[in-house]
Amino acid sequence: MSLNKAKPKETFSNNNAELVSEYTASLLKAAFSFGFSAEQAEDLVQNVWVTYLHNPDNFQGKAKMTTYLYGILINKARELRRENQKSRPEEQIEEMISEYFNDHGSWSKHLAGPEQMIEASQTLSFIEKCLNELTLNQRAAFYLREVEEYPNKEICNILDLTVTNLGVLLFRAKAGLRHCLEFKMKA
Amino acid sequence: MKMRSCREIIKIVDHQEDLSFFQRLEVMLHLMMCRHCYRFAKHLKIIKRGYGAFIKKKLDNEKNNISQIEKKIISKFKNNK
Repeated sequence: MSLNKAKPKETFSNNNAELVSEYTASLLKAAFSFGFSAEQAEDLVQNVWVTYLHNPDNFQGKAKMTTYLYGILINKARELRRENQKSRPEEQIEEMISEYFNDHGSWSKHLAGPEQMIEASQTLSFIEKCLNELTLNQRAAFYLREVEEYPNKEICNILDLTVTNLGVLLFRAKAGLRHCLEFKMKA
Repeated sequence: MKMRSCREIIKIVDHQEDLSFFQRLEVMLHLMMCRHCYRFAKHLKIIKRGYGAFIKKKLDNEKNNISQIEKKIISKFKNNK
């Protein structure tokens, strides 16, 4: 990938050099957590900086720098995965959980005990496999929420989602993982 | 007030911070009475903890990789001055 795009427009100031030093590690950690390989993570983060330096004025200072940079990262990641940013509608939750319930909205299935779930969720290979079944949006939302502990509003800004959509996304991520792990522990 | 079904409860059980006092109370009472929803809620808690531990472990394993790439990128952009 060429860095020349960024070159003619602005001289690379010390300020920018500081930014790159300060935020590259966090961006890489996020990229790895979204499930990208080392090469992909490197490309993605490099791309983030090229985009940022190409037009640094787009950063208005209203958002936090991390929010802004994560926003670029997620867009680059979506391009790479060719994944649509639009999260799927609410009905998909109903579809997802309908097998658990009868017509009255009560459980028709028995859930595994907590001890078994603890065991499954501590089996790293299980978690990794089940995470791979989530969409990029779900993984990103889950990471920002549970690891970075960002408030919902900030996550909405980064992922460009409404609060409702984020709720759906997080529910689908958690319920999807739960379903997958339950299946794994029975297998 | 119409009581929510299990199907409705599990959708809100894990983000109680967004709920009103009475909604939280309803969820709490429901969980005290319903073993399945209680388990579901417990599963989600366990999974969040497991996920956090997984990511921590993963980033720890990739620590050297990450710092290597970090150095590479930083020097690339410095040379591009």
